[in-house]
Amino acid sequence: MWRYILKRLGMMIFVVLGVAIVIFSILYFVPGDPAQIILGSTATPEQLAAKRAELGIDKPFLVQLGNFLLDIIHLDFGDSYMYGTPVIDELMVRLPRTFLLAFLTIVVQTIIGIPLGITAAVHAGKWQDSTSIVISLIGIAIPSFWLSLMAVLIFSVKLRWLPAFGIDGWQNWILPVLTGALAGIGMNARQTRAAMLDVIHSDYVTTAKAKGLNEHDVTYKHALPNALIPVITMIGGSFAMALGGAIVTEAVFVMPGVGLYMTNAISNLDYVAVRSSVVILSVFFSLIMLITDLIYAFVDPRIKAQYIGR
Amino acid sequence: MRKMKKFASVALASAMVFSLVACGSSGTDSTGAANGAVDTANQDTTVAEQTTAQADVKATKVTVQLNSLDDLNPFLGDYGETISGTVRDEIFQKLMNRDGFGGELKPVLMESYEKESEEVYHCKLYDGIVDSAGNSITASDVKFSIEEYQRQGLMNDANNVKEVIVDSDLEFTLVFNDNPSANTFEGAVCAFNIVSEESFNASPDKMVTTPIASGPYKVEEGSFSSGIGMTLVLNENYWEADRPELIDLPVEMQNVEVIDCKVISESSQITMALQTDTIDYSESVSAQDLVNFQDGGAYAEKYNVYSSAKNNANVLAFNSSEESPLHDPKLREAIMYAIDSDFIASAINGGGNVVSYVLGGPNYDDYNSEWENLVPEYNLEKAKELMAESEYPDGVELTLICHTLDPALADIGEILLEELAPLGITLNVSSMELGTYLTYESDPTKWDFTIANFSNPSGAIVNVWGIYFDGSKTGTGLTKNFVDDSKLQELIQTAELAETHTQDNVDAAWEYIMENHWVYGLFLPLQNYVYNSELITAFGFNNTGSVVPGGCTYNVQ
Repeated sequence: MWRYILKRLGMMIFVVLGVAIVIFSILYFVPGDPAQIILGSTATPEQLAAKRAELGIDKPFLVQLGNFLLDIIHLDFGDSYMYGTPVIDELMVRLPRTFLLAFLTIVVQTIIGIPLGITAAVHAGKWQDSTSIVISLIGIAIPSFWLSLMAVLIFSVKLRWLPAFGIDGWQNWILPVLTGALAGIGMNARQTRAAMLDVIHSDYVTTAKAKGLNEHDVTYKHALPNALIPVITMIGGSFAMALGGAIVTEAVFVMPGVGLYMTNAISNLDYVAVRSSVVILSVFFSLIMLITDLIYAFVDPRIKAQYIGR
Repeated sequence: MRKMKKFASVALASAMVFSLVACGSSGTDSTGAANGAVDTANQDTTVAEQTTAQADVKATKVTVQLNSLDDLNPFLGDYGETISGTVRDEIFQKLMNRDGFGGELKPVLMESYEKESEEVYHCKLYDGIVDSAGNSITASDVKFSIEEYQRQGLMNDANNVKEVIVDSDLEFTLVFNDNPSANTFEGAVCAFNIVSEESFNASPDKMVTTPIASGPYKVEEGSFSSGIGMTLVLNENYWEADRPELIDLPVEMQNVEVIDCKVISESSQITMALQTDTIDYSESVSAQDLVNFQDGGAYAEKYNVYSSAKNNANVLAFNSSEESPLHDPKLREAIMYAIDSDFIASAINGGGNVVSYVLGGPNYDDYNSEWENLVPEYNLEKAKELMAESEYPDGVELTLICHTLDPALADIGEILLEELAPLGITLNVSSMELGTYLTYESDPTKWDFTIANFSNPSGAIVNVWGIYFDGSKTGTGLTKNFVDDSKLQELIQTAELAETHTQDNVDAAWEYIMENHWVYGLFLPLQNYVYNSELITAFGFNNTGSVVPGGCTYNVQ
């Protein structure tokens, strides 16, 4: 098992380098001049040329790429073009906020979505199933931007129960987490329902019922573990995506996290901030995928055996 | 099941549409202004007077909204000033400042100056200037600050200074580059934040989050949070506190004890923050939401709106290169007659904007109201006649580019599309990110029209024109809209030069520009300030026309 983990960590290095090359190339060919953005449209060509030389963006593509990759290897993520501050410092301030938002959102999605899906599957064709499907559809169909603003309008402006924005206290996190989780609740519920329906009709589940096991044991001890594999995949992927920054949530609720930082960096052609942020996030993404795969092993002994065999 | 899904989908869609309609509807006020139209007749214009005195009794706290807050580096230059200019003026001080945009130049750190020539000024600081850490600010610190601007390279105006010579502890000489532009000195003394070299070097992060300066306020320790906000408290070492005779500008006043700054960038959240009393004023409320705070609006009891025209006009610029059909002066003239600026000014951002006749605005020192007579009045028939005489009598396809930073620009494009259609002109409006826009702007094959919008805090309108029309500043010898005309260059550069900056020369330059139809004034955007009228009774402004919270007058009952 340890060999498998080490092998994955080794592969991660190549993944991160690959991401670095791709993002660097994309940004290189995007139209726009960071020097122009920094100095404004009143800058003279001489000033622009000097700024480009200072930023190192006047060098050939391969030279710039090589410098960038060397910096990555030395864990030097550079300074933001716009502010002159180290990108890593800014990310270390913002990443915990985004991480917490993503984590809480995933927790809520999981503790509501999975039971909802299980209920729907166990009572397939009945009113519980229909209700669950409607709730899922509502969660998936509602645009998060609209939902967030409605939530603020109702709970902050009209009722004054919760704050409208910020991250000062625990109350500030309620609306962002709930509105951000709704779509995921729907998706988790549908995925769980589909997986459970597959498993519930399996021979071993029928055998377990025939042996006289109660409904609870059949559902949670025999059916659910086998149905969880696709659900775990979805949760892992959702968490990784959320870590990239729930831009809408961060913008509406003024939670300056990674999403807003990257959005601003992209708008301002802050190449260093964008590519360094993407590389750092790719590391986290890879780690989350590794953890997801390890959870598979924990849940399904067959998969664990495969890992050990590698 | 299928029926239930269908019912749920329809019900959900209806609920969303209903809620959007309900939220979007602003109702009408007593004069009938509806759906976000700015009712200029009903606005409170009494809060327009600038504060001219330090209050004897300070208000306790004011909460202000910022669009962003990432970095308090004093040397961020134009970009930093744009982000959080008002609160920067509470922390840092400049050598001099203006009493509002285009106002009188008054001393702040610099007690006096003597002009030796257009290039050389002998200056003297007040004695006893200290920053919030207790470090003195002397002539050496002025030299350090300006050189640091030049070293960081984030402010173009810093390159106008050739040298700073320290003559004594308090005296220094500013030497500008040869042949400076008009108001170069005035622009420079209002531009540079001055900090102590010792304090700057002692700062662990070069004052990014912990600025130390001589302004009336300082950042409360630990309160700065990037992207979230900060709290400004009274600078207990404020050197002007015991010298009230020196306090003459809003940027020098301490009329409130605490300035709480909150970053809110989403426009609907700004409105909600006002509605929930989370902030006390904002300059960024969308036009659609203003009616809520005007007379007759839901929140008019506590809030009010003060509006004033900004000083940077939106101007339509014509690509006059051979790459564009607009190289034809008859076509340009035809278009100018086809554009109804009054309508555009009344339609954009809820209306109430002031029609502009020039690149710049009326608050500049060298503005001449006679220029308004140079602009052709809307006349569609005349436009069609000129179109028939142009190289494109059967019509032509043109492209307008604009950036997405200001959504109003695309709206202007849509109106122009309709107004130019009767001439047979098909207008493609292309809105893009600022980075892409700035690249396309310098390519004559990418656009035919663009909307230019510039200002310059030096106080001279000719410096605004210089940004656009002076080939020596664009670096290409051409104007930004690719005009290749030696007479234009001669007129502009003569008017710009401090030595030959006379009203006659300025008039001659603008008359020539209008004669050749190279640009067309649209409107001056309206700046709307929504404020808590129970707390704020008068605004104080800095030299760029932004509100400085410490310089406002408050109701302290």
